[in-house]
Amino acid sequence: MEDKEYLCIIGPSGCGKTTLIKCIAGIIKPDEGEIYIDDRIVNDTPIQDRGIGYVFQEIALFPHMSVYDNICYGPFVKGLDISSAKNLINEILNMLELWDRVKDPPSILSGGAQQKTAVARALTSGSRLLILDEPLGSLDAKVRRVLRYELRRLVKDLGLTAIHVTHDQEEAMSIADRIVVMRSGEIVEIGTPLELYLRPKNLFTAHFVGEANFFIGDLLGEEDEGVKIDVNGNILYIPCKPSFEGKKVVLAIRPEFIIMKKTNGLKDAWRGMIEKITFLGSSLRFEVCTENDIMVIVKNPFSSEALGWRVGDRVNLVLSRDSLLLYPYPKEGLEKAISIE
Amino acid sequence: MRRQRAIASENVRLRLIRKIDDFSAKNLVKCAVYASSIIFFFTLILIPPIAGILENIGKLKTIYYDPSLLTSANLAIINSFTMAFTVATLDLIAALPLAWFIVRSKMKIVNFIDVLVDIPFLIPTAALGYSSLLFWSSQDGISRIFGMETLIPPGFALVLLLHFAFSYPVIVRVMVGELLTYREVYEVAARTLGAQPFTAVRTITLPLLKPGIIVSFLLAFARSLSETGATVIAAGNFENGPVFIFKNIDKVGEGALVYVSSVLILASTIIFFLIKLLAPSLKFPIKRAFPSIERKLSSYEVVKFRDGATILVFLIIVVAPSLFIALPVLSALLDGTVNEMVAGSELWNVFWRSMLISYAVGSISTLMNVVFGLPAAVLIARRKLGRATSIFKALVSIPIIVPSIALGVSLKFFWGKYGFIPEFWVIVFSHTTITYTYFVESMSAAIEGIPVEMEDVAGTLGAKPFTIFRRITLPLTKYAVFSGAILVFTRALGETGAAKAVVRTKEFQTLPVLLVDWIINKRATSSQSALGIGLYIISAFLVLLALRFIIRERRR
Repeated sequence: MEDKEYLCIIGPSGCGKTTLIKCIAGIIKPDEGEIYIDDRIVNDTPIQDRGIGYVFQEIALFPHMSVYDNICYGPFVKGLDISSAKNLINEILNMLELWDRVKDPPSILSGGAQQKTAVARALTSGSRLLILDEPLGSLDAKVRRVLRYELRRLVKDLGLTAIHVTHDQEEAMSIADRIVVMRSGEIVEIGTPLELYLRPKNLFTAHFVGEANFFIGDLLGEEDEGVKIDVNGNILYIPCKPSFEGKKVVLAIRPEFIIMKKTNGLKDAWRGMIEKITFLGSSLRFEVCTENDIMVIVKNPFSSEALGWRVGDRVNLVLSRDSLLLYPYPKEGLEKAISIE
Repeated sequence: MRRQRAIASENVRLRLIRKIDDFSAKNLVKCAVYASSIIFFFTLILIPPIAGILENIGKLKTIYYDPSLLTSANLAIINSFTMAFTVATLDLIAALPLAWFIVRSKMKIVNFIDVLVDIPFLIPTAALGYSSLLFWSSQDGISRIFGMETLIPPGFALVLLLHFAFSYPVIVRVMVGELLTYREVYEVAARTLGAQPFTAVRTITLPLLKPGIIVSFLLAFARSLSETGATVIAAGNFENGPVFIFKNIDKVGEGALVYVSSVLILASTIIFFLIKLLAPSLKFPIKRAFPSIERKLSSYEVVKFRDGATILVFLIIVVAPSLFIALPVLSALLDGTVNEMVAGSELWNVFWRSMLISYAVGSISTLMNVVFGLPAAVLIARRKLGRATSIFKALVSIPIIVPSIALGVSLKFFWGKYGFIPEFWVIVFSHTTITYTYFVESMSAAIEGIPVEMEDVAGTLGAKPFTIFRRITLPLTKYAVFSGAILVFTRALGETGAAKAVVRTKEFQTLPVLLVDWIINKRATSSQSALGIGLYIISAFLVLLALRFIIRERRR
């Protein structure tokens, strides 16, 4: 990790996100491997000496202490003079707008205020590395959206380094400098949100981050600067050359990069019929079955044109060539390769 | 033909259940069941001891005519509370680290230690008293290692060690339960903030475990305050309230007994409720941190030393004195005492009769408590008495607080008025009184654990009260019913104080009373006493084993 970076870890439930950060914090002892903080191996350093601020999924505010006592706990147990730590405490209380709740016991706070207190408590301990374990998981969607930007702002303003575990991809996309994708105890891919969304190097990432259509195809041969692929009788041209051996391939494309038209005779268009329409708020999601029995997901932004589509309408789908991603067919099969179980 | 008969009998059974169901749905029936349990509580559990003392309160003044008796009575009362307070405090200090070790340590020895903790529970207290006496005071015990005749003679110190041993498991068991349900994330959170393990425990874990600590302290306090049989054996010249009553019950006038009993009942009730009321507002010292000292106290070496010392104290002061009885029992098996027992003599005839009485008393009082205690537990758990539930709950807890021999004295006075009631039943009633709380409290806690919604859902599906109880509540609490019944049975079987107080003729002596009499009045040889105690322990152990086996089978 880079200094002052905001890193998000995402992955399906049980993939080892929390275990990984607990190893970093010293709560779990790893069976093997080394953990470095500031170029120093910390495997044998006890939790309290690692200098990590940890925000728990369960929030875990001390119920027998007031908000203020919770926030002062870090400086207090380190034997620091509270008056000397006061500047930092005041600054954090200001930033998180917690001044009017300082005397309250945690039990009467709202979920959002409890989470803010937990973050404040972790920050006042003076740690330069902040670990957040699904810190917004138990909050309402609206509060979550507001708090996630506040969190990033706070980390950046204070010049901290943060590791944030979440199962919410949107949350990770919106606040992370880089995202780590995990699966079955392993890191699958690391990249910026844009890289992971537009050019995922791994099939699992393409499936897990956002939504994607996957088609199994056969390489027909090279043509100009690209290759021709047969997907169940539909021929597609991709303007890039594969970096792998083998004829069987997987093509992936995000639903929003597929254009849906009524007009017939479009070049390389796939003909199909709308089977289902789902209203998603800012967009509409269509499930289209093509003439050669391929199910394609298409997403169109909310517009009068998109609202005009009906189930049973015959449509033509144009797949944006530049957005098509090409992968070798996985040995374990496509379904297993993208499975989140 | 056989099938038809089976179908017919099944039809009869279903018709009967339906009838009981319809019957149970009537408000009048529900009220009658609850009312009968309340009437049972007041007439058999609460009023007799209170009335017994109040009716005789006039006799209290006679003790003032005997200043030396008054002085020794007062001293005995003070000793009772001093002992109980000291024991509960020492037990808390010594047993909390063991509970910690059992829950947190990953060492294999933990399972073994966990089993050993229950030993003082399994051995009836009178037997434990004799075992401790032999271990600490006899030439054959630990004294031999030091080349002394008596390392710790009977008296204050021996009683302290004895009370420490039998109250110790109470604290360990309560605190193990508390630690298992404690959310360790608080402690980890404190450590991520820079707290040393010792600091995290001192400032976070212990304050959060305060309710459990108070409960375990009170239970140890009550156990020490109430214990009679073992204390009498180990007391020597030391006298606390129960020993005073035990020794003087047939010697002094009723005034002294009324005085000591009433003061013990009143003071223990007040102290118990005061601790319960004030302890939650007690603050742990969490306003200061001492990083460098606490870092040292959290070090590997100190933690290992603490664990080692805890286990050593446990083995030497709790386990060894409890198990020491095995040696004299073994020697009694080999020195011909068994042959004498098999041949039969007046001494052993009395022994077997007492054993029979003890088991009969234990069984009947258990049955009475289960039948009448169950509706009372439902009343408390489901708060069916509204605001009065808290008062009812507090009243139910009284018999556990009050020293059982003091309770026995007042029951002796109360039931003594009704000469037509056979002595056996007076003994049964008194044992029912002192064990009632154990069953009702454990049952109400179990019922509270079942979400009320489960019963409500059954109701919305058309089930009537009897079916809800039969198909939902009872299956989910069956284990608790059996556990509660075992608790009542073992408590009744081991009770010495109340049994001594209410028994009028030697024919109805229960086993612990008889054995204490054998030991302190030297009515039997040490071999005979050891064999008697051994048979007492073995029989209790076998019955417990059988009951546990039944529970396990039912659980399956």
